[in-house]
Amino acid sequence: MDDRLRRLTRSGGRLLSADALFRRSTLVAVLAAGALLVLLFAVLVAQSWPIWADRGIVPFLTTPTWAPNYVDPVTGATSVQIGALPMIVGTVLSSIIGLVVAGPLGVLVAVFLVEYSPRRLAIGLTFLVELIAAIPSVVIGIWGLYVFSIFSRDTFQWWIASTIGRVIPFCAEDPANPTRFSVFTAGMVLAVMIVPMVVAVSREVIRSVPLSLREGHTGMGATRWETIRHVVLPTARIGILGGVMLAFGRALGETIAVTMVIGNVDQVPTSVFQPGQSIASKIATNLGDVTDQVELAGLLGLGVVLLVVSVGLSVIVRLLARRLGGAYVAS
Amino acid sequence: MTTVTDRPGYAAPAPAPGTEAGVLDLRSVNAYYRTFRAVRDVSLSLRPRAITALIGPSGCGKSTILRVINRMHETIPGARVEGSVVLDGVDLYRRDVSAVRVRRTIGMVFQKPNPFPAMSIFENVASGMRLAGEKKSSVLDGRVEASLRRAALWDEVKDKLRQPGTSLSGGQQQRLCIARSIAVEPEVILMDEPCSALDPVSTLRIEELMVELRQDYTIVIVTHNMQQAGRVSDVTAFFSMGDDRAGYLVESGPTSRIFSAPTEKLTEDYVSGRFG
Ligand SMILES: Nc1ncnc2c1ncn2[C@@H]1O[C@H](COP(=O)(O)OP(=O)(O)O)[C@@H](O)[C@H]1O
Ligand SMILES: [Mg+2]
Repeated sequence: MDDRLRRLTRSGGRLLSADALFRRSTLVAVLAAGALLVLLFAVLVAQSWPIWADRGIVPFLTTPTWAPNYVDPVTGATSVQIGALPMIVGTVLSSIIGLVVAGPLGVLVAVFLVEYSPRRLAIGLTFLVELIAAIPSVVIGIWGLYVFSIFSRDTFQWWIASTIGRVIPFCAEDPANPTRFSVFTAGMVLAVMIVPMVVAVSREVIRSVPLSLREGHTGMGATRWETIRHVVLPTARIGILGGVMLAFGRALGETIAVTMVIGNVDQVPTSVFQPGQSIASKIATNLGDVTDQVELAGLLGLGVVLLVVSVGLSVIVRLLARRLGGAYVAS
Repeated sequence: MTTVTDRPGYAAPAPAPGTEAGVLDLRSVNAYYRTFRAVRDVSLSLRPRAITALIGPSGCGKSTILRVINRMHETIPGARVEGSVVLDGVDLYRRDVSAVRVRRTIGMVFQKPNPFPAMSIFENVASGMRLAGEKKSSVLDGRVEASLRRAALWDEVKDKLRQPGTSLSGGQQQRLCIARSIAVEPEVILMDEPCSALDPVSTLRIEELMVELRQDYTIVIVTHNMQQAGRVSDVTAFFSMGDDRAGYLVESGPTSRIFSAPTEKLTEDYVSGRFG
């Protein structure tokens, strides 16, 4: 660049302008955050190296047992069986249950808040939803354990298992496990925790659909509901999807409430009404007192899996938001 | 043709012999936003197969009148209407008349082109027909093509009907919105400053289109552009604002007379650009 030009463009080449200073400091902050993430990832991978190197990625991800000193029931031979499958299945199943319940519910609440509710009621309801978001996860865990799981076991759980559960995978009840601890309860606890997030994002996105589009449709002879269904929700869908996926990410990583209700059994559940284990709860409950080096590597390996999935998910959300028009996507 | 009542089997009375469908009568219309009266005592008759231009200073209630005609006004919380709007002998504000049906009979084109971003060009045009319950794809295909041809857009979009409506240029989007509103075969089309967001070339095309559509519809346009009113309209209604900011009709008549020999001083000042 020509020297004269440089002087013109960069505050005469002397002092940094306030703007440039701000830009630089935010850049530094972003870089620092990025570096931290990379560092964290590197440390986790290094610490869990034995798992990846000795056992291999695929065996680690697909072995259905977690037993550092596994004794074969037939041959009596001992071996190391450290697999992430029970935790992966437990995490994914409970998060999906949370999402299946909280997603539609949250979007419906948001539609009601924006489109139907009188102002007063909307303010009250919004406050209520924010209140739910403020409940500590431990307390929601207690609710899951002492209120929800008992209610569910005594009422609709059996009904689900014996009717629609027969066609939906993972929903038949296992009669050998009449326990309150289950992947299902964990999922419901997660639903309560993420519903405020789904409501908040959906509400903003739905609100941002311009009045001109709604009027264009109503002006053609659409009822309120038809406009919501054919114009508002489709226009807002990318943003809503983004919010739901962020909520899913939150569910994947939730630890304490899940630990309290999932049962902490390292098995691949064949039904969501069985106890199971999630990645986060496995790490949290075992990391403190693990002595076996391979098991420690395995636990940190679980951390790598969770980190990759969570970061991957939010990258996908960002890409979605950018590719499919950022206009109606909450930032 | 759609009827405006919900009563099963009830059809809008056929126009008396010798008269045309699409005769619109505003009778002592008052329109309010909560306690504020935006339109005062407007009575105006609108001829079918003619373009009526509503002109007047900003804020004098032109958009409000337009929205009273197709019962969009009442969608705003606290907004209400007094008086009546009569289409072919049926008072659109009668108890048993459904606002939803009225809006199918009286289409609206807005100031800013507003194609639905989540719908393709085809679906934008088909959306009104789908609302009316049309499901046969042969019927939809035919009417979408006919409407797009009518709106002078077919040749430009026929190869990209599956692309989003928002991928078109501003002028094309507005013609898409016109196609969308004529696809449901309304009797009346209301246009609220349909060219104010467009460049001169697109404006000209929309004006040509209006003149062309005049053959079949009762058209009402709101415009700020005196030349435009002069170019396209057959009848002009001039509105002004009273001291209470309520809009009222000053005078109406054939456009040529309103522009050359208005009876009111106010009108003369406005059309000659001395007031605005
Ligand atoms: N949604 C609304 N709520 C309250 N007042 C409104 C609303 N829309 C328009 N008005 C008022 O009604 C009057 C007429 O407005 P409008 O019909 O938009 O005028 P025009 O289209 O002639 O410019 C103005 O005083 C305006 O402030
Ligand atoms: Mg206006």
